[in-house]
Amino acid sequence: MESVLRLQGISTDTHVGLLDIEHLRPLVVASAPGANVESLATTEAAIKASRSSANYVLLMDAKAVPSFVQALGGDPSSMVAVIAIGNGDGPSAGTLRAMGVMAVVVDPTETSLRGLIRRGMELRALRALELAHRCESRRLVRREMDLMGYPPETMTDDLNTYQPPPLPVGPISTYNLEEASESFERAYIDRVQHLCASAREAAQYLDVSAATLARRTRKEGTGAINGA
Amino acid sequence: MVVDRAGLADTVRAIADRLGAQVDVMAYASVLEVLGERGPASAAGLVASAQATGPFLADLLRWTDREHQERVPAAVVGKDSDEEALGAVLGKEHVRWVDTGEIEARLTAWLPLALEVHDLRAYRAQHDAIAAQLREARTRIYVGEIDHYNPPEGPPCGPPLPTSIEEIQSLKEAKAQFERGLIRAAVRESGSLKDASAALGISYTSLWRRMR
Repeated sequence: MESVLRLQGISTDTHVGLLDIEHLRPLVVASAPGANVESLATTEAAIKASRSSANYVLLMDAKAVPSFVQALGGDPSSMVAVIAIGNGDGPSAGTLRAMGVMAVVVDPTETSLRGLIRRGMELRALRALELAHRCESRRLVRREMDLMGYPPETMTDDLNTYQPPPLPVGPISTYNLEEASESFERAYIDRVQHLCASAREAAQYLDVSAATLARRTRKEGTGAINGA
Repeated sequence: MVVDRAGLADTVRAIADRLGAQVDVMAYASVLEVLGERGPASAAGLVASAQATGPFLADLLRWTDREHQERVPAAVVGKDSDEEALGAVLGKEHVRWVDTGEIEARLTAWLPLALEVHDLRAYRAQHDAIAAQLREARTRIYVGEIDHYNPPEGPPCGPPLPTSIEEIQSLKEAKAQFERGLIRAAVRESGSLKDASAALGISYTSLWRRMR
């Protein structure tokens, strides 16, 4: 699994998020060697972790699951592996499973958690790979439409959804690293700017200085695409 | 696939040879042979001469005009004065008009396009098949049917653009992921590291270092 993730440029770092089960941290650390075990203070933090591109598994108190699922706005099983701990006075195991929880553990041990966390990591990694293949497939469709012409019903004038080209395929694509890389960077910065409230926030997420972002935006003309 | 009664098939073969493309050229003398029971189900591209297709050109182009992701890239060779043929081509985005005076140049430009569309579809099919396999494996892992799955290597993918703030990676990470895929794509297309480095516009040493 790790070699395929690396081959596709996907991070192999693993994270385990704990929500309302801080007392189990030593056990989780022992069960997930090599993973970053992080305490998630609020449901919002757990949601953020679920939606991130990092390889997360969430362990949470069974009682915290309903509010988490509600805040997530749907079944978490398609997004992240959730392992619920203890269900003495919380929802039943069946209810938790129906909510999209991957596993319910009443009395966690190092052995039981180790297997489940590894399973959860696999689930998340497969999701990342699947997403990468689906996105590449969509971009290939767009490229095909560019070459063949768009049938009238699929024409769009939505300039805000500027997409980078797919990875090059065939004899007429551009393989030039600098050119393709700049094109990707332009699309990436453009998308991040759409998602963020300000240029400063975008720079923070992109991990570049505001001055660097401004320079790149100017150079690449992303401001014009943005309509900014 | 070529529909013609003169030497158009040989021209296409010669262009393919010159471009170094491996193309199986199927030659037909009439539209009826293509649309008849023994005709092919599909092709990676169609070159038809308006003179050979006559009034049946529209039927032949209808045969290429399938669901928009399965349209057959086509080129129609004819005289600019042939209004009937021009009318049949009009409005069909996937069909290129080639004037008889510039067959060589126009088909030399068109053939790589048809080949690229063919490759795009082949790789898309691979991506879709792998995505379906991964989805199934993910479901089986979720329900506990299996604990582990070895995913196929698959063709290279660029990083998906983020759809929410939480998905944003640093620019450096995202670019590194993109460049890794681009390098794999160049090596795939070129077949050798030397040719790939030329296509990428970087030195062989630089490519070697990046691949490590």
